[in-house]
Amino acid sequence: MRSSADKRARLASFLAALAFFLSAVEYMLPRPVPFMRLGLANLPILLAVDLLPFGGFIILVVVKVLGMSLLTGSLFSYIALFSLAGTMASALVMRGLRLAAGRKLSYLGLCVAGAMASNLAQVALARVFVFGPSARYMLPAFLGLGLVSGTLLGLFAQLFARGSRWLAMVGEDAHGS
Amino acid sequence: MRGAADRPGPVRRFAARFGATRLDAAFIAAAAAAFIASAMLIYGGPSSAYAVVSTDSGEWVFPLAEDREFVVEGALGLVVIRIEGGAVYFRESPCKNQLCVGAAPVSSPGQWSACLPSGVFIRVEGGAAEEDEFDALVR
Repeated sequence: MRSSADKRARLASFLAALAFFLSAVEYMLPRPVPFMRLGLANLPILLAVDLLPFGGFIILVVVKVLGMSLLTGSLFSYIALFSLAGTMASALVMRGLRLAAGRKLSYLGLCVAGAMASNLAQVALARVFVFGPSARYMLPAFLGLGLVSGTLLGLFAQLFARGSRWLAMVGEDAHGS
Repeated sequence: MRGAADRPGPVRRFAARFGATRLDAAFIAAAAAAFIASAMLIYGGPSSAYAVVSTDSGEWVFPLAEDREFVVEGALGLVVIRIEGGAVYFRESPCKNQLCVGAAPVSSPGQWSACLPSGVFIRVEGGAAEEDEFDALVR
């Protein structure tokens, strides 16, 4: 029988691989607006809020950003920094809210809050490093996109979570160990 | 047997289907309120008249009423911007992904277009009174 640490390591690896795969899917999808992303690759991070210990969770975030940056060829540009700031802000907000609110908040609320945090962090970086005060003109568009993409992904995550026997099983493992 | 009055409304049925909670609804409402408030604050200016082009090396203001093409220095090299038919857009950019060149022209106040790799930002601002007073300004 496998140890719980072994199971957690395998689960973290699986979620990282899933994030990498979903990054590739997201990269292939056409974007109606240049900055618009659905954030599919954030789904494993959303699920990991309840499945991985904090250290493994942060490693997953970094691996997701590295994977996505490798795929898009932006690893050694400041676009990777935007991606890291957005994903990290989103992940920490989702993790913090789960700690604070527990099950009163479903994946839907977590995902909306995470998407808004991610987009706010990216607008803040754009203001500091690229566009200066003009960056405020990006804010409503980014908040609107965050609301739409967060809601869609959150609804999908809820449907998935309610129907997935795999998630129920790994969830039991994560909380039982 | 339950009467029609006892049947849950569409919002409750939707929430039950997805397992959404009251706190979820509160977060979505707060996010929507933040979006609407920011849009009203930032885009709720007077009617459109000119394009403001920001780069690392400065800020230029061009009236949208007059067609013209101009070049600014971006982080990667020269960026060609065109004003045509009251709208402004990126015509050429040395950036790799060319998202800025593919973006639609912008013409209304509050609209913007940006080339992230080049660090060039175009926004449309209002002020019909200023429209006829200048050919171009450097800020």
